[in-house]
Amino acid sequence: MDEKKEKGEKRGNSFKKTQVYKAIFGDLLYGEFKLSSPINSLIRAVAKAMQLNPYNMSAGGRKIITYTFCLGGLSVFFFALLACTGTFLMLYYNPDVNKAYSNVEDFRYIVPFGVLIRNMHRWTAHLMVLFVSLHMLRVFLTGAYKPPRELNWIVGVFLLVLTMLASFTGYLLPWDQLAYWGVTIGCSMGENIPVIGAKGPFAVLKSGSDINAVLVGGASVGQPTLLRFYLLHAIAIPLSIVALMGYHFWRIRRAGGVSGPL
Amino acid sequence: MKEESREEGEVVVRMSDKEWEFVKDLNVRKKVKESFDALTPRQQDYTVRHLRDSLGVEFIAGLLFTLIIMVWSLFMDAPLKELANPSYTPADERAPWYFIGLQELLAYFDPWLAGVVIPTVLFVGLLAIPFIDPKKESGIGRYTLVERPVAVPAFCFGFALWYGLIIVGQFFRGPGRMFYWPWEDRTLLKGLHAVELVNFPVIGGIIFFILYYGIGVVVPQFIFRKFCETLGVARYYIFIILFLTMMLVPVKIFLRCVFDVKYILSLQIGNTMLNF
Ligand code: HEM
Repeated sequence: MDEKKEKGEKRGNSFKKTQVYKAIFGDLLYGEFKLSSPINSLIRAVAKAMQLNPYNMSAGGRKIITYTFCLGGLSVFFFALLACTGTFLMLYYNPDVNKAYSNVEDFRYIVPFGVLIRNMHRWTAHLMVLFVSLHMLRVFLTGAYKPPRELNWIVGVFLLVLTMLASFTGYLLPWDQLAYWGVTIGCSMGENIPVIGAKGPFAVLKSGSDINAVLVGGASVGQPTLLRFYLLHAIAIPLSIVALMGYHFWRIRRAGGVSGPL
Repeated sequence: MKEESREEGEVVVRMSDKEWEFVKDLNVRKKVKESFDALTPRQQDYTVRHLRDSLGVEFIAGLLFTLIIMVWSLFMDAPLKELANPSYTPADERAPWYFIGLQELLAYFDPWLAGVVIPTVLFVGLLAIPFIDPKKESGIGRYTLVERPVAVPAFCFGFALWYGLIIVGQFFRGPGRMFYWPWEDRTLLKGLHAVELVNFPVIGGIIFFILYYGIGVVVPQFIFRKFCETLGVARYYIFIILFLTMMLVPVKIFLRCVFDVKYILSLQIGNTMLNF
């Protein structure tokens, strides 16, 4: 062991020992190692920052595939794909009831590759909701919510809800009949909250000034709703998901990695 | 591949020179060492596989999935109906599929139950799971029904219920949210339920709930003694009440479909109707 360590230290060039280098790469990367390629190290940096991969992976690492079925990992992947395709869609989309629909039509007929990207965004969103719930099932069935992973289960439940909300807020954006009425149904749930919803039991507030009106910005779904949902969908929810995901992965590491099989 | 002989308390880590280059600092870093020490000797006794290896596999898997989704997207277009028209409600108004289970509940429950109370109980119930489960040690890290004979079926039942409702709501509902078998013609509009739905009398409803929760809470204490002991009093009550509440969903659906029961309990308080 010692012999190897010395060998390694000799090889490390002096630049890597400078404070600047360490400040930039030291914590992100693995201390000293050979940069095999810039792309490699970039991926590694991202992975490290998100705490995606364990330092120590068992030789049975491959077994992990039939253990987690990679459902959580795929959820991350779908999220990343959604972020990429979504950014592209944002280039052409305006959250304005007079423009939104025709913007989305443009994806179909005018924007190069627009239809492909929109389809990918849509189908991936479905997949993500499905896979996150399957991931939850997997976590339950393998008892992975038991100590020391309780907090991660809780973080996960919030991620599940956020994933659904992200999907739901995105559903309104094309501003077609499907979107409008689907979201109207969803939001009518707000009206039925006891006491603070206009149609719920013991309602004290009138329609138009109840909790639902606060959420959708009016008595019914309209321009304010579109703008709200757009901001939630494109900014607030994704950022929260990223933050929670980072925490989720960090907790996995803290717990000494995924629960099994080892 | 080099192998170190095992001294007292030493971890055997097999890796090539190149791999050592990658990880040598990491194993001397205190934090990492701690997490490594936290592993059981058996766990530690494996080869350290470097990020590089797993990232490669992940990258290829990612490419593969991107390809699958791309091909899927080439052949199937995301839906886009006519421009939103607030004054025209489509005949088959439906929520996105992941919420269609809740919409499906609207057929059986008032909106404040289906859309607010039930999802809230569900959410709270999910959050509570790690704290309700008394077996802190058993069945971690593997799929097992034998060691967790209550937890696994209970959760799977709820999960199946959620997706069962989604499937019914998505594939078995036609115009006006009426029930259609897949082979039935959806252009034919179905009339409303021909049978008059009935309510339980108020007192009957109250008795129903008292009996339902009473029996549901008390009886298992005698039949599943051991189970209740492991849970402890507080956990038992929380578990059984959440469980019984979950079971009310299929119970109500059953009562509606078989006995045409509209509400089990319909209470008027002030000018508010509370219908269960
Ligand atoms: C956006 C949603 C989510 C993402 C991206 C995500 C991602 C991940 C990943 C990548 C893992 C590593 C193991 C694996 O791939 O299965 C993991 C583990 C875990 N997840 Fe999630 N997850 C999400 C939602 C959830 C939900 C809904 C729950 C539970 C309610 C949950 C609870 C857990 C727990 C407890 C672990 C540790 C499992 C173990 O140690 O075996 N996560 N998650």
